Amino acid sequence: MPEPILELKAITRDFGNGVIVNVLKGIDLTIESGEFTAMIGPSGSGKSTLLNIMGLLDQPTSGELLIQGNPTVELEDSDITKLRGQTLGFIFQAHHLLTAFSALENVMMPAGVRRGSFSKSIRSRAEDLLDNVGLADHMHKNVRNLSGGQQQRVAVARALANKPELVLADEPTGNLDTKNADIVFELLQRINDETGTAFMIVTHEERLANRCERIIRMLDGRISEHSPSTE
Amino acid sequence: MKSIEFFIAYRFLKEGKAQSLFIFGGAAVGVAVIVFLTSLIMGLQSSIIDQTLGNQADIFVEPPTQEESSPIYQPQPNEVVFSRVEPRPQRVEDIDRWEQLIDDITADPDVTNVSPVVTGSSVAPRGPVTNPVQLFGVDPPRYQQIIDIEGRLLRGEFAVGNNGAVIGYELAQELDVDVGDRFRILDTLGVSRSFLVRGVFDLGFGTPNQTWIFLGIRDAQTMLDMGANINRIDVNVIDLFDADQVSARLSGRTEMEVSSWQEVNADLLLALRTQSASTFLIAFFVALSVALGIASVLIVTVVQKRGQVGVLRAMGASMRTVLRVFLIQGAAVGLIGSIFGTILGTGLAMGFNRLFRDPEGEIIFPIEPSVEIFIGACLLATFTGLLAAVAPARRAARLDPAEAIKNA
Repeated sequence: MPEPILELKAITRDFGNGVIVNVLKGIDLTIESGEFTAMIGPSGSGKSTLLNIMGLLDQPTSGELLIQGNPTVELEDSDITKLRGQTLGFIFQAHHLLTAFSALENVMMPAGVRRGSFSKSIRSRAEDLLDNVGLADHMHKNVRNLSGGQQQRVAVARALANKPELVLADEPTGNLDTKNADIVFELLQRINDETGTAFMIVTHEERLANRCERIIRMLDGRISEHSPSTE
Repeated sequence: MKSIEFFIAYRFLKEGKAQSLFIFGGAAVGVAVIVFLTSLIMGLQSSIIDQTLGNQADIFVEPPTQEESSPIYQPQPNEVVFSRVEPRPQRVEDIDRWEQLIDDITADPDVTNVSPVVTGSSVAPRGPVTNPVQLFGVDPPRYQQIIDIEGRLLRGEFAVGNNGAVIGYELAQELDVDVGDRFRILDTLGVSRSFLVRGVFDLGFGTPNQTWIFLGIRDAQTMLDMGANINRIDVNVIDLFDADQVSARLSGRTEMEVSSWQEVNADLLLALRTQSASTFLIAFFVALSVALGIASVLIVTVVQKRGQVGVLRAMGASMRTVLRVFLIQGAAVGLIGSIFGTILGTGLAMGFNRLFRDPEGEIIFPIEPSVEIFIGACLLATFTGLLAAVAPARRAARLDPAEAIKNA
């Protein structure tokens, strides 16, 4: 039995003052290392909020979040930042690349901000990662000058820069056409196979979710179904 | 400070090109104004001080003025006394044993040069016309250290003694004499003696050029009936602006009446100080408006870069890193703006020197932007930029990463 990377215990999250909206209403979830998981559910069901909490980008209103067995609720900002950088990688729907930088610099950045400067090893790892996602010829271009599919592949390479245990992907194919969506999705699967990095992929598309090992269905702030994939 | 923070700051500034150009331009113009204004005022002030002190020692040591003699008859309160007070005939007070005094003054560590002077007024007749003149008996090598006469000779040399005289060029015109000619000066008894013009000088303005005559110490002593005495010692000090302290010290030590150039020119100094204060105020408000400009542009930048800041935070950049990225941007705007500003300010100063000349084509007063002004302006601008960036940087550092990404 592999060690859980991330455990959520009775997580709730409320928004608003006055009129309070319970976006998450008690989530229990465990992510094991190497798992390839899809999270699916209608808009407003709490997928992104849950993902933000899992990514330590947001704090739960109540409940407990353990990363590799360590509680995180009481941690200082600097410790959270460190933990996030070491353990987690992010892929966002709108790719959220740093538009002031080239593809290569974007991929170097996570390790760079952790270390405080760019080193040769950071650079060569970033080059390997970009090569791996098929962008060897585009790495010195500013990311604004790449196509949507290319940008999302840069985002994938960047999410892997710090060798994270778990990559959280918020609709990584949401802005892409079917062909590009397949390319990116297959890339994620290949990386999962090759490196054992766990993925948690939020998606709208049943088609893609069905290709995952495990599917979590969200509805109204709760996990409604927690099914291993039919495959 | 980490190198990656500089890199991110640099790229953020580079990404917002137009915005960065405006903010750099604003800082540069502000610094240019400060550099130009400060150079102008400092040039003006140093040229005023040069002009004043170019013809004047830093410190004068003179014999104490004698107290007014008490009246022979002291009237009662209800008495009316008709009296006429005859003023004492003008007589120059002397310093005897002045060699000893000069040694004493020279011993002061702040004193650089000391020169004995015999001075008094007289007249130089030319036919029926008499020209009032001021005689100065000096020892040229020593006096040259106090005031640069040689450098301001139009003709001849600074050589006196043995009936040689060096006179102002306007006086030379009045007397219709030139180097090699003779003219006459009356002594205290009204007897005229003849002197040979050895040099003609131009000290820059009126009175010295119209009335001053340099003679040898002996000749002056004879003309003014002073025996072997002198009546003034001119002193220069290392630092011009320490003159009043040195003066006070000498006054305590010598029982002479000692006055510094600051005391002699008190009104002038007050005017200069007021001018400096107003310059400082203008510079302060220019710096303030530059700071507000930088701050407002950086706040806009924070809003624009919100998404990227959020992503950086999600990648593991700490709040401190984000804070520094924006502080660096502010400081860089100040520093780089100030480098262009000093160049612009120097250009303005040179243009001013070229444009504003007196009718003879001479620079009215040279504006000299100095290295001190450059460094001062750069430091001021960098600090201002840094200070201006504090509020925007804090705002950026406090962005909630999740919110920032969502709203980007």
